[in-house]
Amino acid sequence: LKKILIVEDDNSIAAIERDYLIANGYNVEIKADGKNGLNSALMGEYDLVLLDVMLPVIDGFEICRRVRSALKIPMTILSNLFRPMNSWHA
Amino acid sequence: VRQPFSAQDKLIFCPVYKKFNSCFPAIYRFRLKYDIVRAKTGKDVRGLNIKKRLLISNVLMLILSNALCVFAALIMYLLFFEVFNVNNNSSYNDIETFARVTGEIENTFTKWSQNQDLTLMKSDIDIFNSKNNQKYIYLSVYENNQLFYPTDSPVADQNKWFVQITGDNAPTHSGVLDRYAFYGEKINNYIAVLTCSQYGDVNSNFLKYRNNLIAYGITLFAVIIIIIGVTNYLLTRYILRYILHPLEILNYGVHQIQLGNYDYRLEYHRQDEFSIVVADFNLMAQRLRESVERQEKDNRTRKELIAGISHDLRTPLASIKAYVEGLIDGIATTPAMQKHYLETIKAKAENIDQILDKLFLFSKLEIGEFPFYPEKIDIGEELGGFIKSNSEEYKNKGLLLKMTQSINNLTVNIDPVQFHNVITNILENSVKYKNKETGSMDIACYEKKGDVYITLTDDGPGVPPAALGNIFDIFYRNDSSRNNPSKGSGLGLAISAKIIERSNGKIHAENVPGGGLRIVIMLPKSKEGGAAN
Repeated sequence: LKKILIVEDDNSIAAIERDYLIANGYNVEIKADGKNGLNSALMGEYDLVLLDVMLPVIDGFEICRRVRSALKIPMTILSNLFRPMNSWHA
Repeated sequence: VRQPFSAQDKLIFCPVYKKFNSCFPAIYRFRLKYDIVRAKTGKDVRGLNIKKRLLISNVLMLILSNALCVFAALIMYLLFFEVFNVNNNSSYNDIETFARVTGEIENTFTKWSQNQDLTLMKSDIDIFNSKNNQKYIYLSVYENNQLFYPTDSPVADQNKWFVQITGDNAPTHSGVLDRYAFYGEKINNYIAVLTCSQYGDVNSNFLKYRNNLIAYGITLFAVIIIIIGVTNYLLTRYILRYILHPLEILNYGVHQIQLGNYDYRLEYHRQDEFSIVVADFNLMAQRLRESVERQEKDNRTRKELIAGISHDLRTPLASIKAYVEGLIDGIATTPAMQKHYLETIKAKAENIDQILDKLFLFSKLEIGEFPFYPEKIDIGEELGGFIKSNSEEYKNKGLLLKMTQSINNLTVNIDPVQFHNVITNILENSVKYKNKETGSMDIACYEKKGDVYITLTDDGPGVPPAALGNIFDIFYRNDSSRNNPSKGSGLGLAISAKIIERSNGKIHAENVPGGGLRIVIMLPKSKEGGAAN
């Protein structure tokens, strides 16, 4: 069973993401802030990390950068901030 | 600022200046007075204003140019008629001179006719001729139509015809031929003839005089024109200096403003008509700058507002969309899950509704259309009542309300419904940002300097000092995350600030030493006797 980490501070969004992934047969864990999310992602137990951009303490881009420098795991950034600069940044 | 030792200061040590000052103490005192003012203020108060300068210049123009013209006319008269005109002997050989000499010789002729002494006569003739040949007048004596004396008379030839017609028929006779004038008199058997060889030259003298006069007139005209021109030029320059210099300064300043340099200020130290213009210009530049800054700030606020609205509405909408899709895709498999999904959708829709309500309220407050129904309320009683009826609800939310200080019988003029909104918004803010399981909120109310103060102090994380001034701005959230709709819309405190502002009060925030945020509300005490109305 593949393990997926969701870093998302909006409970309702995290819950629906979780429901979708569980329905498709994945194991899911949710972290609500950037610090905990980063610590969990760096443990290297996950096959995919879903990141929000605007997170308390550490933002999604920063988590992505730090995880990339240490591990080679796929990460996806999810955000409703539809700005070209953000997509490019991601 | 004046230099300590300018050229003017060095002048003080000049002996001539000292002598001048001791001779004219009134002038010295006058100068001293203005020097002191100049040293103190750096302003040249002695400077005349432009109106006065123009008047002086015009008067000088009249007096100076007229005086110079008269002076020039005199000098030129002397040059033309006295210095250059050395050959002008007109006074020696004109008609009057000949007539005078003719009159004078009469005595000699009488003497001769009484005492006929040839030796005496000859010496008289010599004396007369030597005296008068400068005037081109000669005396010759004839005997029987023959030249008797002086034998070498220069006018012998010219005299011949005259001698012949002078005789017994005409014992005294005068005549003019060409430029020769003759006067003859018969004395015994001699004929004395007085001859002027330059007679009638007065005509040519007149012409010469007339030509001189014309040349004099033309030259004088030219000199007057030059004098007026030069005086005019110098005086105009004297005035223009005081007009062109400030105009240049103004011109430069206007150009700077045109380039958008609103910080530019004119420097002009003279006290005249322009100093008012310059002062007004500087004021205008300042106003312009303020207005531009205000406009820029408004633009920025509007951009932030639009970004804030779009984000805060999009977040719950994204949830709604996701849950609806979840229902459609059959992710919610159990009826309990489906119910939960629908409840989430409802909550998110309500969330959007709330935001829109608040936004509507805020915009109405901002444009001043929101109706206020202010009443005189006893502030201590009102706050106490509010806490009593709401403390249970907030306890459940994890915030303990406590009234630490209150006042009695003090009224303020405020819309009670809106006042409740203000307090609720502040309490909600504390609930959202508290970093403990159960936070506390101390509410105090007191009077200071005739105003009513309400403080609401929590024990939450506080706000960074730099952000204290911004927390009442619309959509401001001291939060790196905007994705958390549970942490408010950023509208609550903005609305509170607007309501307090409309009630003629003030609101500000400060950090409490040891952690926590304190919101301070100041409301003016309602005037005594107002209750009777």
